[in-house]
Amino acid sequence: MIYNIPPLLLLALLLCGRKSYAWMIATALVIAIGALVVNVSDFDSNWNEFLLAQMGVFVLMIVGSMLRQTESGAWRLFFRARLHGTTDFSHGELLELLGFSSRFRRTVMNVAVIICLLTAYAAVMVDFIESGGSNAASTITLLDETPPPGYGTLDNSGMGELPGTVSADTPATSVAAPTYFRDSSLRFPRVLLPVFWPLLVGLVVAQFLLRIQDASWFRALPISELKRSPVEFPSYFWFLPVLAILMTWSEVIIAWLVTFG
Amino acid sequence: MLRIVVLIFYFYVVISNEMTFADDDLLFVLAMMSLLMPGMAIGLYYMRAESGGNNSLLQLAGKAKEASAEELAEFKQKYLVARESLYAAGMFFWLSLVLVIAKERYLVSSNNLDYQLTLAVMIPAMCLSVYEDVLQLVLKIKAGMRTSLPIEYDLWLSWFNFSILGTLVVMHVFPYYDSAVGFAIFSAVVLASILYATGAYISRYRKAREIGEKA
Repeated sequence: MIYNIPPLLLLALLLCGRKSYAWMIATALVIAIGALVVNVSDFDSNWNEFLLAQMGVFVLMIVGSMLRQTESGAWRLFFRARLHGTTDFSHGELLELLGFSSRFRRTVMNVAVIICLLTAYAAVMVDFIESGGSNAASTITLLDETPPPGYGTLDNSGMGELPGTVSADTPATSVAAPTYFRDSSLRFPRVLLPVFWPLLVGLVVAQFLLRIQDASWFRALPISELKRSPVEFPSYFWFLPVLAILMTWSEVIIAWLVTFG
Repeated sequence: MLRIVVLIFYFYVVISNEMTFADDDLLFVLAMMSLLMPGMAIGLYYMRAESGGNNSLLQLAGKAKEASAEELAEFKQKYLVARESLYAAGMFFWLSLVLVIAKERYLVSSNNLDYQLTLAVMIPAMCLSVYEDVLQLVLKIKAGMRTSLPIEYDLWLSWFNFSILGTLVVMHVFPYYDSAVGFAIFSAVVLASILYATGAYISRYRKAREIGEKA
């Protein structure tokens, strides 16, 4: 059932693309596709508290930044538009609201990126300390996802030792396996969820929610006045895939730096 | 051209190194997300106020040959919005993919996770490049192949493709169990950044000089 909805909505959007209510179909399409994509993910509920705290900080930072950057008149316009729409707005008020809306989106995306980078930095530091790269004796863990000190060391004391005298007639017996076998791949990616969650939420808030207002609020404005800064999606977002690669390889890079540094 | 080279080299590295993903489900997720990405981009585009107006993006491209300066500006504005929508869909794809890959069930069954993760996170960017090229091609066909349209490639996406190319070269040269591969990838990304930034600066300088001389 869920697989049939996006194609139907896409068809409806292509047929009714020039209608004034097209943005509603578009919103439904985006939400349906987002739900379909998220549906394939089944996230661990252990992260809830951490993610809620992140969201709290997210909201506080956005509100604080917006209060500092904007005047109270712009906020009044925003709430007026939220309650009654913009049909009775003058041209000047619409332009002021447009600036406020644009700044709001930019703030949301910037805050999302800042929280993402801070979490990534914390995760890298925790990983660095726990992996023995630092002399600091630490009990820091990131939501218990980082194994305690000692977990990561390979116990190879039993290697090379064979049980008793070996001859051709000795029956084969199993050698005791090391207590822990370190798989470096299993630790770090687990923290990717809290690292990238703020970005995903920022993207959803900035693109899915605020855009809805744009479509209905600013229909009265001509295209030339809808030019806003920045028009494009923040370019620095393309640093983040590189960040992911660096995080994936962080252990090797840090080990190399410690060895040769 | 760079994007085609990246795409071809990606498949070459995957095939020649006999790389596989841990789970067929992951391939299904990748295929689904790749198919859904343009749909989401279209949805995001129509949610924008800029998508309104008397003429659609395609209609404006069709009139580009005899368009006035204002119509060309409107076309450029709509194209940037369409590209931004595509990028937003690409970012959603990429972030979701990272979260999906981070799930334990995809990790425990593999012993070459780092390669898989590095290979997988490249896919959204390459899909995005392909879709952007398709969009430009459609607009070009609509406008007429000889008509010049006011559209440019995104600097950062081009740089990222260049970095991907460097990473693929490293992955092809080094075996995956080599201890130096992590640092080599890091160095490749940095080197690609420096080379690309230098090239972009020289190109921009030359362009500005040409314009200055003509003026």
